[in-house]
Amino acid sequence: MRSSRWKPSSRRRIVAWHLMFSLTALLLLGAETVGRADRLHARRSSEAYVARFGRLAAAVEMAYVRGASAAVGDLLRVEAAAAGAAYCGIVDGSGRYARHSGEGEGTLADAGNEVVQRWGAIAAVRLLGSGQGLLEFRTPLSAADASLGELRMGVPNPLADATWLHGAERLSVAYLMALGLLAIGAVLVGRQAEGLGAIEEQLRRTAGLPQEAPVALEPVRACHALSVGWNRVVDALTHRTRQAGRALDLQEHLDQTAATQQQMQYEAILRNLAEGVAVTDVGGRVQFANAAVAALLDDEPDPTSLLGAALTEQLEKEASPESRVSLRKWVAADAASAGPLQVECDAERTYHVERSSLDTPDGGYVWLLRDVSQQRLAQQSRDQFIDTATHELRTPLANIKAYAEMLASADDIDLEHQKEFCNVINAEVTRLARFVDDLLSISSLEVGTLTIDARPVELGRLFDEVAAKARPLMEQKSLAFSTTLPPKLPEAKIDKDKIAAVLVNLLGNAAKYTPATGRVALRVSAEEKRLRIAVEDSGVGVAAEELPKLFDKFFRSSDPRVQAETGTGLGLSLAREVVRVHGGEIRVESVLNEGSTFIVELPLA
Amino acid sequence: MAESRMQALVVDDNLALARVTQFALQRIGCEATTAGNGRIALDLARARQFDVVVTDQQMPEMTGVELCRNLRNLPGYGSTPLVMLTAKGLEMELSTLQEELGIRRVFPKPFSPSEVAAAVQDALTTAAP
Repeated sequence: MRSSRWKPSSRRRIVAWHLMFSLTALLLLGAETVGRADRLHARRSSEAYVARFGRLAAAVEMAYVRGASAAVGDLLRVEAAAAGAAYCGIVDGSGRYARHSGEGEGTLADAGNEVVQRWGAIAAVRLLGSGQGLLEFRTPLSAADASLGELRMGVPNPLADATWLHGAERLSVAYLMALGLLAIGAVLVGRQAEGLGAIEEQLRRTAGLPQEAPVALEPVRACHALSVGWNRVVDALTHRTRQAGRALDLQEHLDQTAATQQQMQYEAILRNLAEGVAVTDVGGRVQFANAAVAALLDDEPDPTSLLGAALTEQLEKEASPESRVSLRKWVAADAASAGPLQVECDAERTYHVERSSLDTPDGGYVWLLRDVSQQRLAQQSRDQFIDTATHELRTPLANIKAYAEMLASADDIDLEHQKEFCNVINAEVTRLARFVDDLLSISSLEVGTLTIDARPVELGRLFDEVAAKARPLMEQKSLAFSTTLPPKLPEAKIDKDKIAAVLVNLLGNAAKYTPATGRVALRVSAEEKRLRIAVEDSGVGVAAEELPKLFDKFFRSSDPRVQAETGTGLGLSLAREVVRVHGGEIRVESVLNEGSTFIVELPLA
Repeated sequence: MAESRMQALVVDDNLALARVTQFALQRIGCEATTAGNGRIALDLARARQFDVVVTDQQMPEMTGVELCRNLRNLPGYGSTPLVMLTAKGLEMELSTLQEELGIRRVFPKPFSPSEVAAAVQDALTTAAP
């Protein structure tokens, strides 16, 4: 910043200049006026003397004409006194005073005296000899054409007189008025120049600012056009600056709005993610949790209920005792190196938990929570299927190998045994083939390519064939097998092979899970537009809690009596799919230890 | 003659496999009896003394390992040779099985009945005093 040294304000300087020039002019004017007045006064005095002198000369001449020359002396005295002259006299031809107002006698030296002015016969002569500077009026006197001499009157020289005082006297009033006007002028000029100082100071300050610095100007007291104009400029500038500021504000506001909107969008995404997302501080307290987290941990849709809670404690509340131990170990470990954790809550629920460090100055963690119960159950079913499939493949293979090897290695096996062994091998191959068929069906079901070849089918024949296939299974276990068909069966447009497979499967299950000497029945009834096929048995039945899962893929009952039998867990799910593709439905009614009834309903139209 | 024949017990829920194993053992001169599960096998073992037991591992009600453990607790079965057949992995290490239960051999399915018979014969000759 530039040091602001005190300077006389512009206003003072302007007033000072104004006063200086005005006073000088006034002085010059005054001097001139005084001179003029002086000269005027002198001329007027001279002319008055001249007139008086003329009249005196005439009076003297008249007195000489009348012959009253004696009275001339008195006349001169009276006139000298009246005119305020120093003297008055008549000089004769020899240069001597013939008459004189005083005692003036003798010859007068006239050398060096010069005539300063003439008015006709009258001449004014400045007398050098007179110390006080007398002016002498002279005129020749004559009477009856005879020269009488010369009339002379000495008066104080009006030109040499200190007459300027007379002028000054008259001048003073005007001069005072002029001075007064001058003072008024100074005040007015001062007022005119009043804002200038402030303006100049601001301009100087502005000039000293760096290029890019904002210009800040202030209005001054509005008292004349200049300051009013300045204030307008300042107003305009301020307005423009404010406008620019407002535009800047608007842009800022828009940016902020956009940012807020984006943030809201991100938050909405986070909130609505199906996957649970939570953020905890370094101490493990929840700072953010979305609805999915709240649903998993709190069974509550409002995630704010979790804020401030310790996430680990919340997780521990859900976890099974064994999972709790592994959870504690996992939380204590380094977040970067620890992978995801499966937290088992109970037999049904499993959570997948991930944790990673939050990359912010405050630190903390981001948590991902996912309910993987479905995946886990699916995985379990799949594992069970692999288990079952392996068993189902290995058992016939083991049998085939064992019997084939036995046949090949021993020459001394009797025909009876050879026949028996071949039958076993044959039966095992059939079983293997059926299993492969099941697998193929299930894989086509899996990719949704199960198609049906619907053709008009004579239902009576279909049921006869199904019954014929099932009967040997019943006979093996001495089961009472009965079929009930309506006297007249309509024709139906179905995929005969697939429906037959479904019914054989249902009858096969009935035979498998019905203890020996039980009973199995196939009952068919045709309603108006629906064909109802029921497979009843007096078998082991299905526990109520397992009924909803019975048609699920890979599901096998945990009942030991079911486990004792081989099975893939695919038959019923396949049956449901076939019936569904036909536009029908399959359901089960069962009481544990009393028996089951599987009902298939197919549309007839 | 019949009295001097070695008594073998074949335990398998897969009856066909039990049958062929029985046949292979009979061919080496054993008198082989089959049982469909561990419970029946234990009943039979209590009823009379067997010289060797061949059992499947995966069976309903009682696994092969459980059957072996139960057999060892029966009087007279402290050092009876045991042979195991399995379609899958075992529920414990082979070395543990041999150490704890004295199981001689484990055959994975599919197996050769002649090899099982040979192993049984080998066990019987080394076990015999």
